[in-house]
Amino acid sequence: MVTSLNQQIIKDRLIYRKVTIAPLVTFRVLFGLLMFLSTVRFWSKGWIYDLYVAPQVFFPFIPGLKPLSETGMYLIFAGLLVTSLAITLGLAYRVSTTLFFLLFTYVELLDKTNYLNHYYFVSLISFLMCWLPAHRDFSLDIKYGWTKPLHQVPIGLINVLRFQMGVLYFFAGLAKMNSTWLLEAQPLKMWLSSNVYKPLIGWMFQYKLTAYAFSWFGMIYDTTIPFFLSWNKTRVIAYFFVVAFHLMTWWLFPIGMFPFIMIVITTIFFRPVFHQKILTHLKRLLRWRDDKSADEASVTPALKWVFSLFIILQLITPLRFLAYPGELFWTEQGYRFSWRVMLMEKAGQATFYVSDKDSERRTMVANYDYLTPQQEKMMATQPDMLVQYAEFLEGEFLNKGMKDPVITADVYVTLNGQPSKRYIDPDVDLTEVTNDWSHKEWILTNE
Amino acid sequence: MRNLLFFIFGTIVLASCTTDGEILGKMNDFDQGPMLQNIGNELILPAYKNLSTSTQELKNSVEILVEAPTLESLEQARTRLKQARLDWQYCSPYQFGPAETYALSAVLNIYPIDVNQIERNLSEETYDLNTLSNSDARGFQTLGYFLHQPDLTDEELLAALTETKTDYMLAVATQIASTSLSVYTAWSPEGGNYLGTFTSEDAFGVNVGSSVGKLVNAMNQDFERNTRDGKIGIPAGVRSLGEPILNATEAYYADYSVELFEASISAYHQLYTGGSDVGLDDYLKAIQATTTSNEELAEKIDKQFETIKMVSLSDPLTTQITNDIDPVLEVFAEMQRLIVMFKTDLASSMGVVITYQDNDGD
Repeated sequence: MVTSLNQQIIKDRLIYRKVTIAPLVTFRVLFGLLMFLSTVRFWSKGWIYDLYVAPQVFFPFIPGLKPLSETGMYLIFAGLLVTSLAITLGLAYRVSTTLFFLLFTYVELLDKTNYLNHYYFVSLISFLMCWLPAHRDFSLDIKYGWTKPLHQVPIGLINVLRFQMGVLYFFAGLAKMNSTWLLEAQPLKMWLSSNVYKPLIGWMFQYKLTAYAFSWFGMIYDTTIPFFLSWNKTRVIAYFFVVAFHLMTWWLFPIGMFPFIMIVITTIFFRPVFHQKILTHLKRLLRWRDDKSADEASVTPALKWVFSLFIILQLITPLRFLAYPGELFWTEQGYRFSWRVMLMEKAGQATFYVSDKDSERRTMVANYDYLTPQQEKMMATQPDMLVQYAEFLEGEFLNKGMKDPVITADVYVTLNGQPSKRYIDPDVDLTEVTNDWSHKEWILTNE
Repeated sequence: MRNLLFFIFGTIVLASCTTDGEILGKMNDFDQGPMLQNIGNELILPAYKNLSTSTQELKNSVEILVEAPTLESLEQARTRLKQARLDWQYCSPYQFGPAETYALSAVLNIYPIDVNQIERNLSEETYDLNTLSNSDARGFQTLGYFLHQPDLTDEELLAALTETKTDYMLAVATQIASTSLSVYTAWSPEGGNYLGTFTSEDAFGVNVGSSVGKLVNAMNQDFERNTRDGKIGIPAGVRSLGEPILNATEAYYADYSVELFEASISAYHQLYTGGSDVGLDDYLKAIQATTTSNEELAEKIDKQFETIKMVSLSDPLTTQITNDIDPVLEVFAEMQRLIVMFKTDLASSMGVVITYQDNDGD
C-alpha cells in the first residue's frame, strides 16, 4: 500500500502535477530564435553550397537518400528560416514544428560527414516540440483564435525536455570515464596545448595539470550537472557553471552555435514561476491580452506512448555499443547518436584500389577527384563510410566498363596521438561486405 | 564544497602519477614564433623572390628570341624556362594566401596541356589566357611545347616560329612573370606584407586561419596531388590500370622531369627541417611529450625523406617509365608512406583543423 502511494506521489510530481504553461512558451520562443540564427549563420557562411550542392558524393544515413537540386536545397533552408520564425511566433505551430523537424532531419541525414551531436540534439528537441502544446499561450495561433489558450499543463510535458537535456549531459559524462581521458588527459593535452597563444589565460594551457583539471572537471560536470540543475538549492550555482563551461568551450574550440544553444535552453530547468514572471513581462511589453476562457490540458494516452517510447530509446541508444566487440573509439560501432562530444582526436588516410575480377591490373583512386577534404577525412576513420565510398566507386567503374570491380583499401588511422596503424584488412573486397548493424569483422584491432 | 574540491584535485594528482611521471610539468616548450619566422623569412619569401626574378628573366629571354630568333637565343630561352621551373618547385608547397588568390599554381604549372586548344588559339589569333577554356593552354608546359620539339631540329624549329606563335609565347611568358611578381609583392614586407600576417601572433595556434594550419593543409594537398600523383603516379599509370600516360609527365617536351621531381622533394624536405633553423621536425620533437606516441615521429619522417631520395631515377622520365618502371613505382610507394605520416600522425599530433565547418571533435 505504501509503495503504491509513493508511486502515486512520484508519478504526480514527475508527470501529472499541473504547473503554469510559461516554461513551454519561453522555450518555444527561445528555441525558434536560436534555430533562426543558426540557419542564418549556416547560410551566410556558404555552407549550403559547400556541404549540400558542391560535393559529388554523399554518405547518407539512409541508403538512397539524396540532396535536392541547388534551388531545392536553398528552398529547404529558406523553409527552416520560415518555420523557425513561425515557431517563435507560435504561428500554425503544429505545422511549423512538424515541418521544421522533417526538413532539419532530412538535411542531417544526407551526409554522415556533417554529423554533429548538436544537430542530432536539435532533431530530437524539434521532434518533442511537435507533441508539446507550446503554442497555447502568447502565440499568434491564440491571437487569431485558431486554438484555445491553456493556463496550466502537466509538469511531465516540461520534464520530457529536461530529460532530453539530462540525457545529453549524463551520457557525455559517462563517455568521458575512460582511462585515456582521465589518466592520460588525452586528447585534451593535444588540443589545449595549441591554445597557448590565446590572450589572458593562454599561458595556463602550457601545463599538463590544466589538461588533467579540464578532463576531470569536464567528466564531473557532464555527469552531475543535470542533477544539480534539478535541485532547487544548487540550481543558481549550477547554471553559473553551465554558462562558464560552455563559454570556455566556445572560446577554445571551433564548435559553432552549440554552446549558446545549451546556455539558452538549459533555462528549462528553472522553476515554472520564474518563466511565468518573464512571460508576464513579455506580455506587458507587447500589450498581450490574456483570454480568460481556457482549456484543460491532460496527458493523453497517445502522448504517453510516444514519450515512453522516446525515453526508452534515448536510454538504450547510447549503450548499444556494448553489443559490439572491440574498442569503441577505434571501430566506432555504436559511436554516433550517443552524446560522445569532444572525446577523441582521430585522423586517417585511405587509399582505394580498384581492379576487375580475375585481372592483375589495378588502379589507385584519387579521393580528391570525388570527395571534399572534410569528407575524405571523415571517411578514412569510419568503417561504414569506407564501405559507402567503395559502393560509389563500384558504380563509377562499372560505368567505365569494368565487369566486376574488386575494391580494396589501405587505411591508416591514428587515435589520440598514438602512431598510425593499419585500420582494416587490406585484402577484403569492400564491395562484397555487408554494411548493416552487424559487427564488421574486417576492422583490425588497435594493438 | 572545499573538501570536495580538495578531494577531486587529490584524486587527479594520485591517479595521474601512475601514467604521467611529471604531471606538474609543461606540455612542451615549443614556440611557433621562431619557426614561422624562419619558414617565412628564410624559405617562403626567398622562394617567391627567386621565382619572380627567374620568370622575369624567362620573359626577357622570350622577348629576345622573338626579336632575334637564333640558336643562341633559343638555347637561352630554354635555360631560363628550366630555371624558372626549378624555382617553382620551392614555391609549390606554399599555395595558400596570395598564391591562392592569384591561382599561381594553375597559371604556371598545368600539365598535361591541351595542344588542340593551343592550336585553336593560334589559328583564331584572339584569345584570353585568363579564361577557363584556356586554363590548359598556358604556363610553363605551353612554353615547353614551343621551345622543345623533339621531331624538329633546332633550325627547323626556329624557321617554324611564326609571328602568331611568338605572340602567343610572349603572352604566356608575360602572364607567368606578372602573376609570379604579384604573389611575391603580396608576400613582401615592402608590398602587401603577407609575411607579417603569416608570422604575426594572431596567426599562432593550429585552428582554422592559423599559419601552421594553412601550411600543413597546403603542404599535404600539394604533395599528394602534384608531387606524388602529378609528377610520378599519373605518368606511371597508377590511375589508369597500370597503363602509363607518358604525355602527362611534367616537362614532357623537355627532358628534365626527374630533375624537377628531385627539386620538389628537396623543397619539401627543406620545409620539414626548416633548412638550417627551426622547422616542422623541431615542432614534432617538442610535442612528443604531448602525444602518446613512443616512436620518434620526427625521425621517422626524416628517414622517409631519405628513403625517397635513395631511389634513383634518370631523365628523361618517359624513358625510365617505358624501360624500367620498377624504381618509379617504388618511389611512388615510398611517397605514399610519407603521406600517411603527414596526413595522420603529423596533422593529428599538431591538432591541425582541416575545415571551416563546426566540429565536435569527431
